[in-house]
Amino acid sequence: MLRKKTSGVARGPQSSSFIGKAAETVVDRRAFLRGSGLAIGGIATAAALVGSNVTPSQAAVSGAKVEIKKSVCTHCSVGCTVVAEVQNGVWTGQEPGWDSPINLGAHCAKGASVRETASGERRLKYPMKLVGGKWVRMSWDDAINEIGDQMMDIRKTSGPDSVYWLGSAKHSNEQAYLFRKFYAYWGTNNGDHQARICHSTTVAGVANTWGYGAMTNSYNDMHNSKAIFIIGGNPAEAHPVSLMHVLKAKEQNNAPVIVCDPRFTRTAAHADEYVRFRPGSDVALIWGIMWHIFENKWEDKEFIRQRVYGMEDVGVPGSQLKRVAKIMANNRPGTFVWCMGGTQHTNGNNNTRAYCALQLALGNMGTAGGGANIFRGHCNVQGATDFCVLSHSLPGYYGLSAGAWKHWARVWGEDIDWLKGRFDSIKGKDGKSKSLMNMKGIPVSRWIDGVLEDKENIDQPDNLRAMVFWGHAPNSQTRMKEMKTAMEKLDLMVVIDPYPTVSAVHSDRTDGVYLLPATTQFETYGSATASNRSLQWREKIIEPSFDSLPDHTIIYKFAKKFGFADRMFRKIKVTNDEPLVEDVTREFNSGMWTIGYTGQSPERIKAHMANQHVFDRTTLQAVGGELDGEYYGLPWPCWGTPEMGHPGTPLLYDTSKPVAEGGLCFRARFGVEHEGNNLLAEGSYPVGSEIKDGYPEFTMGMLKKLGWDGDLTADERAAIEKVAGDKTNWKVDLSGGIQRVAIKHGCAPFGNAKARVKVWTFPDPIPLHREPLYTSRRDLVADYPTYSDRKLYRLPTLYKSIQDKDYSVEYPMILTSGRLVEYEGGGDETRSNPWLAELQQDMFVEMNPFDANGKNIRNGDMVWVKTPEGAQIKVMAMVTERVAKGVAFLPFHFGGHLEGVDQRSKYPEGSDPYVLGESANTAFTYGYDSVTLMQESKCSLCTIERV
Amino acid sequence: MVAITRKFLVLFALTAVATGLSACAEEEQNRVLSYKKGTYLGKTDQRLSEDQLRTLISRSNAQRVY
Amino acid sequence: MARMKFLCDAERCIECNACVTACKNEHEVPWGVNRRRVVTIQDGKPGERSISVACMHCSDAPCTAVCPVDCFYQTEQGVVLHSKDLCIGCGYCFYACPFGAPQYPQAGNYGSRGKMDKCTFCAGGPEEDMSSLEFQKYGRNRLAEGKLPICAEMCSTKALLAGDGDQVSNIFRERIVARGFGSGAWGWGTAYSIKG
Repeated sequence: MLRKKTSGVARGPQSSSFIGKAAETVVDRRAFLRGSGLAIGGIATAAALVGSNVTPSQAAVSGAKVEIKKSVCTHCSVGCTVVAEVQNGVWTGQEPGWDSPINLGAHCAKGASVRETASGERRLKYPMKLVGGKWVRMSWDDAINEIGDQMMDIRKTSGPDSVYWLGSAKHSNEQAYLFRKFYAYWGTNNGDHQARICHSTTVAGVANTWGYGAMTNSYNDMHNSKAIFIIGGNPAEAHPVSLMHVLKAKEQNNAPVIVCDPRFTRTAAHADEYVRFRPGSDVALIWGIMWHIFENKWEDKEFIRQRVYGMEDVGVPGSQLKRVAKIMANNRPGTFVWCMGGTQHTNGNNNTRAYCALQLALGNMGTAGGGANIFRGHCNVQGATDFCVLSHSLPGYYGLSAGAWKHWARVWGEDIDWLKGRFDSIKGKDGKSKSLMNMKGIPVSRWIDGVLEDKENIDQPDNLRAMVFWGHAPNSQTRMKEMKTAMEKLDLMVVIDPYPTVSAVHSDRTDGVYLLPATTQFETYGSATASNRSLQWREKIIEPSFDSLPDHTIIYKFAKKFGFADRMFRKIKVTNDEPLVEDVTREFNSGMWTIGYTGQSPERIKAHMANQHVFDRTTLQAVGGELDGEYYGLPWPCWGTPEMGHPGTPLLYDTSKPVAEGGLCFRARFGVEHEGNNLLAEGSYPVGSEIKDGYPEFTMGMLKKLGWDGDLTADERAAIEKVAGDKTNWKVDLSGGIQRVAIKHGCAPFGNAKARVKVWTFPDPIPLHREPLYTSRRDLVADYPTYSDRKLYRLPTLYKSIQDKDYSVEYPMILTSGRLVEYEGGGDETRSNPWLAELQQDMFVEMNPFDANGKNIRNGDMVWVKTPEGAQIKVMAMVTERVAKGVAFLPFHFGGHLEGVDQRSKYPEGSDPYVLGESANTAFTYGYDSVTLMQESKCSLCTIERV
Repeated sequence: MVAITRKFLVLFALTAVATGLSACAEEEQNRVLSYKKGTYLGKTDQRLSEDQLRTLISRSNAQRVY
Repeated sequence: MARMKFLCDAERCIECNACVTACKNEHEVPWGVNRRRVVTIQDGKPGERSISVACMHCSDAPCTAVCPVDCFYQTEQGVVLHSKDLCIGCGYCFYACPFGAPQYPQAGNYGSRGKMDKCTFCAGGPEEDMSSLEFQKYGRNRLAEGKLPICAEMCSTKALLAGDGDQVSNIFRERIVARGFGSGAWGWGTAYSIKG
């Protein structure tokens, strides 16, 4: 009766049973990848009995009082509420957050295991430095002093721009804001974060289409959708809880789900229509769908006339696409979802604008059930973007102009001349000195070039000499071999993170690397912005583990070391080096007028968190009680001061509601006319508007002209006068008076204009298809060439000179990348979580049986994936029809192996993740978006060979 | 003879059956032969209270959310 | 009287594995032991579907019938539990189970694989409810806390339902009506002799 078992993992033995059959006849990703369950990844042999290894939770299970704390998951941007049970200061259990209108108790594999993130064993435990190739423990004070002294040395010899401050999408809003302010005080714009390499092209493309670069509707609003169009996104793995909302619409509205992707994803498995297309051909695909829409006159003419500019300039070149077009046309409103598959391209900004154009043509914008639903990737990447932990703007997308600096100096109570003095300058082409204060810094995607490029070619005094990786996975970036060289060339590397990350092991440095343990967000508190622009407040679940400190405390310590702490924190209470989080919230409330981060006081956000159950699960609006009428998390823009009580804006550009109740129109951001055409809206305005037409953005002068200035209070009037008199606009009025009065009269402070399909300031005003730099379709290069080489963000950037060379013979397969549900980002955190790591133990490459058979590769074989810039990675082959012939797919969460060599021994002892593997980005090649320098990590070339 | 033999056989059979049956008694086998819900090795298991059951049923229903 | 059942809606399951990690988290299940797993059929092809599988707590449980030491029993709510004190790790239940539910902490032959472990429907074991002994051997007893199994309560798409059988099948039936088609509750024929 007993059969010999070959593996320790129990599998259904009865071949007559369903599972038995499945296990025998089907190779699924997990069965394939799950090796012998025991003793993998350096894990100790499992205990004989469940729970018999003594754990904190066991120790606390009986007796002690259970405290409930609410936080928000720190993985993707859905914003799932985490309910923690705490006993004696130990986090002992997780319960479903039923009351949350966003996730209704649901979690994915990552959310359901976050307890381990905070309490895990593989954390970075103490400040450490690399001495002669060995990690040596040190104190916080010594670490701050040593690092600070070296940085000030670099500052003296090479200028402030030679230190790079790489921030995080995992910061809370308060930390993100402080971080941005911090490197402004340090005197550089060389700071950035993950958003650059995830949705920067979305933010640029979308903001330049209709005003704001963010998800327009909400996950919940998809309940109203009659059709769901998903392109370049795999929410079933990247945002699993969002599928709850998608499937509700699918089942209850009978909404067709259309998935366009090069890969038959887990999301595609639930689609009604799956469109497979070649990576990098998004614009062509969308234009094809648009052609059918216009050909059949399915466009929304009235909407286009009133609210869209430039649609007639969309020259569209001429069975499935028509069907898709028809589905979208017949099922309105339809929502449109995109993710990294659309954004991470050399022409990513074109893709995102093409998507917008399709929704505009269908009239699907500004309506419940419609919208451009851009799913952001990290828990607070929306917030960190809004606070502009970026190299090209001050918080709130104010930019880097003199006016922007003046505004923020006013908010900070800072002497603008002192700030100016912090910055370096360079000689411009005209021979005049230009302050680097007003020049975009180097983006994160290019820091490598900031180190390696000849300094004569960079628009700053010297190369980068010190890198601070503050909550950043380096393996989320392409060209990792060059990154290794760059890391080795630096004078100083500082990693501030709950985990050592791949930064700790990627280079062969033996000195000059510091690891500083930061807390997770579960060991501190503050607000975070979900993808739908709702702010949620996290409570502190447990005290910081080991020697870790929260980011804002570390920022304060550095500010103190650099001597500007008193200036930077003049409005913020600080206790034991920890700034008071609520004071930080209140400070940004007083300055973030552009995007309405002004109404969300800590008290209001906390009240929402405490009363989650009163919010409707589709509209997100509170019904009854003290919060009646407010939208969950006060989604920005939440106009005016907290006292004004604006309810937040659940759907951007929705004219069916008054602005005071969350309505809006498209923003007047691009002037009032272009080439003699009116850019303002025509006959379209939010309900209740006293101006029954388009209008420009509000200024004091405009209020006077309209005769509405009489509504201002004396205090407001005085504050406005102090800024710039009549020229004071809604963005810089620190009293919020202009916003209040405009809204009182039913108007949007930012004006009422048309969205534009034509962005005349971009390299391609109308989105064009351009072949990838490393393209497999050489025949299309002549007609759809890439850009000419150019200088962007201080650095020379290559396009044509790469595309000119044909690599497609030697490297015939298209290489693309994406996410897995168990891991996130660079994966250091999730691969250090045994509950997740067990589920996905090997890095792999997906390839079609056709290609595999041609190379005599079998499922499970180890293979080399080689790419044109000379990199190769050793991974396991997963032979599957999920990818098309000629396409290979790599998940990007692995790290700790480099070109076949295991780097485990380089981690500080006890802090190595359970699972290591080759980084997909070791293989990925050069290529950057023409507007934002987003990296190209969705389309390159490769060849695959058996090891 | 025949009758005596038959009587003996019947007696033997009866004894055999009785012995056989008695050997099947639970105590002798020291094992469970019929499973009754809520009892474990003959003992009644700790029962959930009416209150607990009501909560569980309402919680089952709460999964209807979508 | 409540009869506890699991139901996995294959139209909803997206193989996110929340059920798997929630279970690990709740009961501190060690590496290598999986009380719940997600199985995908037609992986990567049209028709791909996933199902989350654990002990289904069958009405007439085959494991109970084959156990040589009678370590199994069924609670009043129909939850199939077992005693780790009695279990000898023989593996018979593993071969009898149509769902592949029983798990063993060690790989090995007869008698050397350790005590069997499986899904308890978050109902602990024969020990005193919510005692630390019960937790050590079987994990948390959520039913005694008035809560349902964590895997179902945390399911990302509400594909996995757990609780009173009537309520659960009502929820599922409503979905089938909304969809206009239905394929029956997976595994219910085998587990509960019912076509869901």
